[in-house]
Amino acid sequence: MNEPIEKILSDAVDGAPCDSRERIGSLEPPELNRVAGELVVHGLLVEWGGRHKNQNDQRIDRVLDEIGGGSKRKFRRKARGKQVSWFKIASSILGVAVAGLVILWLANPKGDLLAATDSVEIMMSATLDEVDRTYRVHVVEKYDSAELSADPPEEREFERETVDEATLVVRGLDRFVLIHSPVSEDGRVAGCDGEQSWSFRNDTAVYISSDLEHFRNSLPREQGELPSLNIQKYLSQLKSGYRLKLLPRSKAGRNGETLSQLTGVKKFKDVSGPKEIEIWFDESIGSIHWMLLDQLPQGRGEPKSILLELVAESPVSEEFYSFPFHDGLNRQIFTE
Amino acid sequence: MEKRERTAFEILVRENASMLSAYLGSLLVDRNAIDDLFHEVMMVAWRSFDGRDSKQPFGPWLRGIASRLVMAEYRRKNKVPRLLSDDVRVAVSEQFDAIESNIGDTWEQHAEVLRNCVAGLPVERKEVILQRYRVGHSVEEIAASGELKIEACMKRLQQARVRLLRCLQSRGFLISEALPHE
Repeated sequence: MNEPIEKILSDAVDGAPCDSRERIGSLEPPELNRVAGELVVHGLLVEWGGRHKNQNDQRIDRVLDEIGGGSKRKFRRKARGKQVSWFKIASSILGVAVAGLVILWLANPKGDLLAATDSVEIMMSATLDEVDRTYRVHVVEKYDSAELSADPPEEREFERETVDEATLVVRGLDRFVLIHSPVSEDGRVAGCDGEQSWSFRNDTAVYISSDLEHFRNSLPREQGELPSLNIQKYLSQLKSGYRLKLLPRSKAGRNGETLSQLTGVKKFKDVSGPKEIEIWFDESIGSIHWMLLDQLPQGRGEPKSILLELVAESPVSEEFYSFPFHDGLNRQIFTE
Repeated sequence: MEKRERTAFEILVRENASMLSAYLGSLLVDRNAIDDLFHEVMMVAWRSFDGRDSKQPFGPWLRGIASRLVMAEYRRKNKVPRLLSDDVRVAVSEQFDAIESNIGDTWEQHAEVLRNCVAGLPVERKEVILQRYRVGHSVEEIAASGELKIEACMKRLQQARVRLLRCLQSRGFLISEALPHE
């Protein structure tokens, strides 16, 4: 075998796999391990890529449909036909009752945990799409002074900076830009271009980090006291730490889309994040139109509830996610 | 008895659906053909369900059926991928055994590990992976959209997969062996 194994692998996975006339010989263990490993990675990616289309659900349904109507079930139906009629009637009544219960159960969103979990998966998949989505951040409610345990003077000092009316633009896994509204005197801009995260305020240097989460987890303040605006993080928490309830097709979107509502209530106190999360999303494509983060962890001057509202899905340029685009070009740069 | 059997099978189908789809993908089954082969494998499994040793795990048994059916299909079309030697198929199955040996982990959690590894890819490689697997573009389409030569695009995809392999190995998700540098 003269051809490098990398070439054969690449052709097999991405090109045109060859026919049986040209089989490879036996491989040494490291090569064998590499080939098997890459094939498995390819298989995992194929499965992962089909998740947002619910391909597995359709495959499962097809199998269950067939075994439900297959030879074994037909045999059972024949056997049942020989039994006495009163038993038939009782079975029918029981069948109707069971069907009624099933309908009630299906109509009751509390029982539809599987669908709720699936909907989180659909939304997570949508957040990975290379689509630019612009959200407006609204502070719905603030903790009042009676609820705040922190030092009041310090709290007042931070009041100048607020996430209210900020604009958040996100694309895929790790590109985002958060632009504070002019209400926030510091005029902070933070973002990530997929290779580095960055942040600066009016008249300050640009701080950059190779940790893509660095400025995302502490948005919008470096002290990390205001909530993160990482939608993917909240979706991930929903699956494990929240009790979910799905209300299908509960609301119309701005452009007439049919939106479903997913509500998550925190299961345990030690789970980080807000006590409740409500999301209205387009079930067909998984895009999130509104996300309400209610009863956020309490701190100095933090908002109690925040609403993210989808305002646009217009494409922005790749450069938009880099700091020079936002007047950060001529600033001093500090690496964190 | 039959109802109980059907329920048990249904649970196993649901638990193993993601695994089987990934396994068929690993055997280079074309994405459009996975639906039919998935169905065929599950139907063979259902017909043999009575006679199987219930003490043995379902996953490896299902993969055995899948491997035989996939190879039979390739032979019928006289198009066996040259990579799929017996050794390679055994090694692929061992990798799946390793994944399943992570006790308590569901395929949901496995997908999370993969997603995190994809998130850690450099942006250019991440883009080609997303286009190839999430959007479903062919190499030619990705190359055209990125103004790349096809060979360069294939190279980038392969480098991305090698990086994902290393990431999954470093997390104990796949069997680890020394890999050559890119």
